[in-house]
Amino acid sequence: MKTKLTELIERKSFNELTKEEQNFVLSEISEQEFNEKHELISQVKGELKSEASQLKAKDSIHLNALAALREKKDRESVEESDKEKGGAGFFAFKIPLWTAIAAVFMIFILSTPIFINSEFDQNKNDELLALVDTVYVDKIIRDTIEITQPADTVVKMIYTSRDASDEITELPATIESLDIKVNETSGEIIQYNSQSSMSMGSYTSTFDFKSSDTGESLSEDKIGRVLLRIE
Amino acid sequence: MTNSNYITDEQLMSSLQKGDESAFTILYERYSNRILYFMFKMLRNDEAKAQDFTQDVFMKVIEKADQFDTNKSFKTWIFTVAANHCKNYFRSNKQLFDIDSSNNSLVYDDSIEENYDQKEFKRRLDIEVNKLSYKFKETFILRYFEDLKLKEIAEIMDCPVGTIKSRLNHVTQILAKKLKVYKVLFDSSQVIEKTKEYED
Repeated sequence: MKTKLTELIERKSFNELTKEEQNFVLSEISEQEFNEKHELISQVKGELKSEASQLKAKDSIHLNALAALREKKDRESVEESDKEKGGAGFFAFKIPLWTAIAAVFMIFILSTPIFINSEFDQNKNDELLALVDTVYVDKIIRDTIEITQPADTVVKMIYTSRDASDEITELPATIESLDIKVNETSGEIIQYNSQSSMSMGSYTSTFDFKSSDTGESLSEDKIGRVLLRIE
Repeated sequence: MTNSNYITDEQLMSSLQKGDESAFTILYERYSNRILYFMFKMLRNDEAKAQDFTQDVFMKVIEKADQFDTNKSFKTWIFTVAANHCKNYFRSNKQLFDIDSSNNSLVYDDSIEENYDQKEFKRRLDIEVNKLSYKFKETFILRYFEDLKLKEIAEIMDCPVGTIKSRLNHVTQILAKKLKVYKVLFDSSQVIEKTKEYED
């Protein structure tokens, strides 16, 4: 209903309305209000049109837009040509004739059996490999295989005599001098100052002290003697 | 393109999508001034900015020509592009313009000046239209200047037709109220001028 009223206000004055339309309008608004709105709208429309006629879009807008359109067209044509080139590029790619011949020759040489299998023997082709398609080979696999090998380490004892000049002039090590504490009842070593003992020998750490295979045997070493209670 | 009057906007857009420059030129001739005026009114009569915005709109038409559905109305589409461009501008300058406000409180004094002629009516009309909030102004211009259908305006503004109707009703009521005095005086001045003409 309101749409109809709006349309009537915009298009006709009250006097131009039919009887039916007038009755409809009067059921909604007064004649005066209708005429006021109608006149206002028609006048506003006229004003807007006269104002709009004074404005004109600059020519530069059209020129700039056309330039943009051409740029877009160029861009699209470049993209299309790139696509076409991408599709046929592989086949359109040209190489010199000698390169093509060399490539074919190389493929031929490399595909011969001599290059594929260096142990290729022409006579082997005549040998009968099998009469049936499938060959069953029985093979016993043991879980454990014991291999006994003779010891590869030979221990050789060499005894050499020492000169008197080689004698190390030092006090014999005692429990007190090595700072070793021994449990008197059980005979176990309670405390051992390894630092002092290492300073006497060639050991740099307790690990070396235990595992060295280059020094003297424990029974010959002074500290070892103490530890083993030989002295 | 022999007789451009018989070619629809949508057909021209179809040609533009293929890169037809003459199709663009015809569309430009049909719509450039309309878009310019729409921008001019929306930007509170700032002509320089309206010119820039009109260019932006036509640049978008070129850039997004491929996105246009030729089964739809070009007029609605281009005005949607224009309205959205304007809206984005206002959104980025929200401190200056309040888009979402539906308040049409009039700050100006309604005092009547001495010379009530057509110029004065036009001036007051500009003032009153500029005082309308963004949405009301957009509806008003699209309806009373562009003569767009309510459905088309609803499509451009992305809202129901009922909303457009109520906005138009609200705008006409406000303007009728505010310009009533000027209208009466303008009419009376016209009557005086006409009687003078007859007397001469």
